[in-house]
Amino acid sequence: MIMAEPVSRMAPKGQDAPADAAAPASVDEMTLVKRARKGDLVAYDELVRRYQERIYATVYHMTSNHEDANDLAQEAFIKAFHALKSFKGGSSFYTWVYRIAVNKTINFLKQRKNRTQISLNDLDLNAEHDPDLVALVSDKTPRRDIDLAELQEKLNIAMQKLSEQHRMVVTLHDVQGLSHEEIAEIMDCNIGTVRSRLFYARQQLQAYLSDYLK
Amino acid sequence: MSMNSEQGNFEQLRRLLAIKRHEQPPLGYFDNFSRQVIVRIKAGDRKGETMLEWLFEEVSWLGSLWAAFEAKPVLASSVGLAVCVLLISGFMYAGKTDMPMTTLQAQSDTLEMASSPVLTDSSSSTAGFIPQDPNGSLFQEAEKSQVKAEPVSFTPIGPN
Repeated sequence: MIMAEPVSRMAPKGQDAPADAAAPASVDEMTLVKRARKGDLVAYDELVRRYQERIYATVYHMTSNHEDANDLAQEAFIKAFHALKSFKGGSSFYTWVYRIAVNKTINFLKQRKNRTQISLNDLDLNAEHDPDLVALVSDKTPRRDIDLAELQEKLNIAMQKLSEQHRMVVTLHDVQGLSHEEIAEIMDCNIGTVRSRLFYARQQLQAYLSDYLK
Repeated sequence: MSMNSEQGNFEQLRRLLAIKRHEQPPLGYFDNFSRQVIVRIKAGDRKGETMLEWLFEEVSWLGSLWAAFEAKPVLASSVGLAVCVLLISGFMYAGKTDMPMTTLQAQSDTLEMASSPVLTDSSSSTAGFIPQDPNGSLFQEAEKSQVKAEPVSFTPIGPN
């Protein structure tokens, strides 16, 4: 591969970017894409850094397994690099990579079928101070003796009971905060389908977790 | 269940789902992530890629066609139906044309036999003894066995 001249850091690194920065500067992104298409791995490295966290998180929330998420996220970026020549720029690179990762993950989960092996990441230190979680683990919660780690496990088990499509919608919307329009574009379906899947998935989750919800 | 209580429960669910946002990979995990991706790209690693994915990547129109089929099952069904109809009509046509072809073949065989030169004459006394191979002719056999023919003086016996 040709190593072209280094690309200046035009945006903050992926790990420093806010989670809801769904619309990076499109011009800069296209410049990077053009360079990467010519084999510039420095430019592609920059693209990976921008989106690695969100891609990893999506795959992780779908698989509930860190090792699988690591492999799939990396493979999604590798596949995206090789497929760059077919990227027409009709959507943002971000949406395009997301779609590759989503399809790859859904295919993986279909092959894996029911052989779910949960390998969860630890909760960060901020979890205990999250107002939502503080409100949840309070006197309003029927199972007030339960701790966050146990809730985390129960939640992940319940998530794994959902179909891949429903789990994906919940992950993208309720966990990652993507809009219905973005999800529709990523999952290549219409917004109505996204809404109905989201409603159904929430109902299912609610039923599975009824012991832990008021 | 009323709409309000559903929304209330979804609110609780939304709060519960906040846990997922706090699940983080080991510290420093993302420091090496992009480097690992680049290393794998340089090494030509395409592990986890199925043959079908590779094919779709290399032949881009095939991927687009597949995507169109996935997005519009009606289109896929129509194309499938068209292919089936084409195949069935192809088989039927082949079945119909089989008979005349056989007859024609038989006729041409007959004509071929009739027009070919006759090597043997069934009415001849040597019928069945003439070798097909000209190298194996009786004259050559004679040459091989060193048989020499000598002229014979023959005087016909006359009345004086």
